[in-house]
Amino acid sequence: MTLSSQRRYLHPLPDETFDELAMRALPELEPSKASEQLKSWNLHIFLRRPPGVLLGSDIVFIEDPA
Amino acid sequence: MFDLIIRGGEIVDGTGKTRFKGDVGVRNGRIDAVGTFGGDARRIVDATGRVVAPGFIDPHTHFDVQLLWDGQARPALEHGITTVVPGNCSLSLAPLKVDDRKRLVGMFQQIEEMPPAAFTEAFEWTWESFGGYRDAIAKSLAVNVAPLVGHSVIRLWVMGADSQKRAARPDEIAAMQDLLRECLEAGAVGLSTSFVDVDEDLRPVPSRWAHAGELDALAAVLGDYGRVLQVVPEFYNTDITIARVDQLAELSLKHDITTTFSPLFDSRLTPDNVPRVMARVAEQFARGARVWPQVQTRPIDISFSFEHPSLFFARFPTWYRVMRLPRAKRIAALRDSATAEQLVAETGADGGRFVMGGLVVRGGEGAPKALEGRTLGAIADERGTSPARALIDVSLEHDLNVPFLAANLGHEASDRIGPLLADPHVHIGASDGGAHIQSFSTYGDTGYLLGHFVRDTHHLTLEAAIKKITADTAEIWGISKRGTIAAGMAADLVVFDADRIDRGNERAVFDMPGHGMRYVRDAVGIDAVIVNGEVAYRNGQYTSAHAGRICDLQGART
Amino acid sequence: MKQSRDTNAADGAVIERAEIGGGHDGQAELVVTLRFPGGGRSRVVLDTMAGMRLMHNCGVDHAAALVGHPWHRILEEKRSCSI
Repeated sequence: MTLSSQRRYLHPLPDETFDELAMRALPELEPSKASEQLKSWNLHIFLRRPPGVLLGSDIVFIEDPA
Repeated sequence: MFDLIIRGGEIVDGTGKTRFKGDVGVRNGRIDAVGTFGGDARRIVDATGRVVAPGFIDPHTHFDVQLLWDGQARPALEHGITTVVPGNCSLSLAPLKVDDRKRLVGMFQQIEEMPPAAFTEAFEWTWESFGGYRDAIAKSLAVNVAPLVGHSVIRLWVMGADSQKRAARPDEIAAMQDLLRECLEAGAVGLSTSFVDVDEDLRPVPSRWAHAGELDALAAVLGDYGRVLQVVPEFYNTDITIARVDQLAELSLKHDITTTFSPLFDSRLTPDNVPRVMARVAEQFARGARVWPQVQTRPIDISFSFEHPSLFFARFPTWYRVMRLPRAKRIAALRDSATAEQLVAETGADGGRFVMGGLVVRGGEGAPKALEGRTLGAIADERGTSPARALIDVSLEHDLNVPFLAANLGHEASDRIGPLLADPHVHIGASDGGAHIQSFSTYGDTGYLLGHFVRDTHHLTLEAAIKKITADTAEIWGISKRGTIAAGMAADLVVFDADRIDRGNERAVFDMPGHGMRYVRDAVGIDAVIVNGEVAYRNGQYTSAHAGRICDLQGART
Repeated sequence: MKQSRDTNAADGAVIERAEIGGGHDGQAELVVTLRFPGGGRSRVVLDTMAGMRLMHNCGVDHAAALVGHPWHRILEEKRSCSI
């Protein structure tokens, strides 16, 4: 059974920050641009307390929604 | 001699088989005979013209605290619920160190909305271990309980305050595994975790700080014992929910465990959510994974008043502006005739009949008794005014402290929910029984299923619906000897009138410790509820029977 | 003071729809659909505080008027303007 393609995501590594994950996910972009791009795909991480702090269980999307 | 015979009912045995007429004989808490048989009994329950079904199993509840002073889990029992699964959403009352009680109580209050007195006056804390909690509730149960252990409390036990700060070290993960084993040995039906819940300071609960490796390690332990993983996903975002389905599927396949996530909601605002998620669930089931979405039967209702800000008003500019004013100015604006006229005009040429006429005045501390349960449309008619004007007037008459109920604001389309509930990959549950008690009633979902989706809309046959909330649930959760009517099974039975069964209207009661308020719904059309052979509810009255117990589970694989 | 609708594609996603729905917790919530430059859509659900902050930051007094505003307004701290 082949699974249909879905939006790609990463889990954070232990104690990884959002900016670090952004650089890992989007190494071709400048760090600030990578963070900003990733932010727009992952508003759920910034709409909670503390905003922008990655939790180990997070789903972090690394591409546009379909 | 039987202890009890349920005589002359239409037996819907939980397997999905077509109903048949017969008797059910009970001896020593178990079903001893089904169909046509001879013999007398110490007690007869006449079920002529009634359906006899296995007791319903509610797989998503938060009765953890209530069970300590109310072993009947009122009013769940009167709705035919004979087994509950508490400890969902990563939170259970054990294992818990004495020093961590205050922290956990805050998390529980955030979810359950229990008054503080519930934790300080209603029971005595006698335990730290899961087994200790099990023993504390087991003393006076009238319902059966298959308790989950919460990931957040396991993390809290091992990591203390750091459980809400950082990833766990390998030694800490190993300690969590050991603790989980101890809980499973003590009767936990599985582990619950949450990706969305927050504590009283709105900080993520401990389970959300766990990285994927920690959950994988705990799932491995579940695999050793053949137990269940329950998850609360980010149900507001389809892409994330699908990612969670995939994550659960991998855990299910890797560790050979059953997983379930709850809730899965439908809404007219998010029409693609359920089709996309269910398509993914079907794909994962086809791979052999067990990922059960839990779907609640009832629609989502919301509540608002002029006392507190609410986005309910955000559809109407003037209402929104008035709502945001400081309290004194808000009252002045509502009293101002020109403003009031503008407010009414904004709700449409019908004076808000369409958008506000169905709003209901709710009960509660400040609610006017005479208006409780009535619609603004009816109140407006009585007063010779418009519904929008009635909303303003009723609010002003009671110093703004009148809550209104807007029903069916989500998960409301029967032509979508009915087929969803009937889907073979859907696990009916997610009632949240015992939670959100001051916001809405979480009781009566089974009555709503059997009344609305079976009797009214015919989306499910009675046999199929009963199977979904009895045998299927027992199988998914590995609960032994419950969920069907057959010789040798536990005598958990419900006798009801299929033409009447329903949930009653929501009403406010003040029966929580410390005179705390909650919303409940009474049972409609339920004649009798029998738990382990004892009649626990009959003709509108609870009995003194307390035959409930901690559920036996299907055996460990190792 | 109304804030400008910043629909330049270079700024990324914009609000395509904003509607009031019923939340799991019994409160009304703001369901916002974002449309990304590539045509993709995602949804974010805002609670009372976040929803009111967004409306404030966009200078609007009803949810439908949020359409066209850029995604980053959702995350901005409350501005000092008023509607």
